[in-house]
Amino acid sequence: MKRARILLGVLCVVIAGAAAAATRITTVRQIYWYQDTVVGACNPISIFEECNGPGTGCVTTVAQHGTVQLYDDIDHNDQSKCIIPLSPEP
Amino acid sequence: MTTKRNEILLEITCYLLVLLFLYTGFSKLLTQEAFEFDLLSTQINQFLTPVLAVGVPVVELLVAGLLLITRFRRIGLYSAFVLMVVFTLYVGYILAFAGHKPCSCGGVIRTMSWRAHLVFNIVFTLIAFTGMVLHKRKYIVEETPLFI
Repeated sequence: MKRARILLGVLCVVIAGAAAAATRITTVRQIYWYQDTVVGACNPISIFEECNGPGTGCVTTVAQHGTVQLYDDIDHNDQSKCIIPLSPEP
Repeated sequence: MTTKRNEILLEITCYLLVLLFLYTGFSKLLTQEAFEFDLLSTQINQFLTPVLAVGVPVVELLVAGLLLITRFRRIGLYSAFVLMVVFTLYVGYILAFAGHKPCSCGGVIRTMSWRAHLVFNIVFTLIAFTGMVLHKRKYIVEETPLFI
């Protein structure tokens, strides 16, 4: 019984870990884009300038935290696909 | 018969919560910067954000661990219930009052609409509550002597 519990626990960790890793890509891809458009460049400064526009709700967080770099792993080569998470609202 | 059924139900309840907390905990840690960013977009105190960004997933994993260890299951169930109530209140608050709605959730859960998220949280709060009740009943049954 004890062994079965340990096995079940390990199985839960494996399943949850694998699911989290698998859906990570989905999560990143579904991060919502700046005003529903792809930001055209990966240059953090230009993104910051765009983000910092009135009413975007982004304020200084991109510049402070370099969140832009986080999503480089979507597509390293295609800079046009560099995105930033601004709002979860599609 | 009822006791056996309750025990099975308690196991299912616990493992459902374990899967939820492990999944959301891992997801938040894997996309930690995104999670921190989302927290920053909320009205939560900015100084608290880095603490919450690490603290929330760690607490979730800890609760999952407590639920997996039979000896700590009771405290695990209570913690899970409290955690779910807090998350539900947060979602309810965001839904009711926040103009800008950032989803600081883990994994696929962040793809849900806020209403769906609220329902999801309420369901898991009820599951945790059921677990607490079942565990308490089991404890009472085990503690009650057969012959008085």
